[in-house]
Amino acid sequence: MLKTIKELEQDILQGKRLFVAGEEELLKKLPPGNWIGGTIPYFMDEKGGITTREKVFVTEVPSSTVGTKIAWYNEKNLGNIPKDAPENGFSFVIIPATSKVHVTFAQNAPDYEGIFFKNIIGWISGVHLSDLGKVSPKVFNGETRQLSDELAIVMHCEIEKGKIPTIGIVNLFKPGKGDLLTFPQGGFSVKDCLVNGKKENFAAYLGRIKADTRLPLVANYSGAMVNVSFQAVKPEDGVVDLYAPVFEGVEYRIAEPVADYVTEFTKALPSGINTAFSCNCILNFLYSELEGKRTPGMAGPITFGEIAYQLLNQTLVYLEIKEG
Amino acid sequence: MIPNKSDKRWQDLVTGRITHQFKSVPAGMCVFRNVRALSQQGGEENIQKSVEEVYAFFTKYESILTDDIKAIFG
Repeated sequence: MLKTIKELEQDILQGKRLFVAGEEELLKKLPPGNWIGGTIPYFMDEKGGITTREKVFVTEVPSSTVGTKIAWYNEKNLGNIPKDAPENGFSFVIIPATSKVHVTFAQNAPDYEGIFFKNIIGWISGVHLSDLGKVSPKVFNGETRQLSDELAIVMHCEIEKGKIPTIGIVNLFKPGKGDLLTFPQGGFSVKDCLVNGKKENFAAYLGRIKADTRLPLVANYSGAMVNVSFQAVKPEDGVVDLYAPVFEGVEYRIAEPVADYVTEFTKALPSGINTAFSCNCILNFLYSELEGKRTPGMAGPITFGEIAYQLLNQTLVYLEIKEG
Repeated sequence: MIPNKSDKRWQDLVTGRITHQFKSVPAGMCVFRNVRALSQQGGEENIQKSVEEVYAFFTKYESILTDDIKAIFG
């Protein structure tokens, strides 16, 4: 929930274990304790979507957590996260947007050894959109009060036996009925694609079909719909920049439009879930105008990318602790 | 109850001959990764490695994969 710094200070001093999201200047004021954090001023609160530089969003780790360990990761040891994650528990990851660890995680996480055997959830920290290019997104280690715009911070959380952490997603986007798109080379920045098997410049293709680039590319990962969102189409350079990498050998289609996010979200929300954490994407917040609107049962930071084992875009990610 | 690792349906699952839309996100991602990898580099040894991985995943998370297991293996 959203809290003032004074309220959060009390929580930290009481020894609570916390995930925190908020403006850099607020997080810098927090006392040392068992918390990690990332920068962002956008949130889905219980009362609705909100932009604030005055409060921070606080999530207490699930009460069934029996042990926590906070650790930094760089590009070289990022792949150790699954190995370091508890056998029964989850690892909560926050990565600063546009950092090398962001790129490295996005491109490699699906191939990290054991990644799907552990529960890896988290988000990509960001900044107020008016600060883009001026201020770098940060992550914080509350134990040491260190901050970084280059490293990932992780809290490994061990859960008591008999409880099962489960990560879910709510993605309203489904592959549309348009062309089948594949990419001969993966990455965040794309030149060529294959449109139904025929080579074409991707930027030219998007212009030709007058694509609505608020709609992401969607790939069906055996039932898990994985989006890749458009950042910029540069026809003059023949380049399309993306918020997550496309992968060679994966089939994409541009998503079907979503008529009304909140209505469709409410329909898509699985019943009877009790979320321990959730986050949603800044692009859903902007394109679906979520400020002031509620996504029932799901409150948390609005992010520059979501992590459910791998980097996702335009997707709500949640953690639930189930009875075994 | 999941079938024995030698059951041919495991091979069919990791090679994409059985297509299933998983309810579980990590299960879908795990199977998809193996299907994609084998489509790029197949061979008996790689198929067996994929079967080992997917079987181990199903074994670990059997209790929360009941709907998916029932749909795939009956």
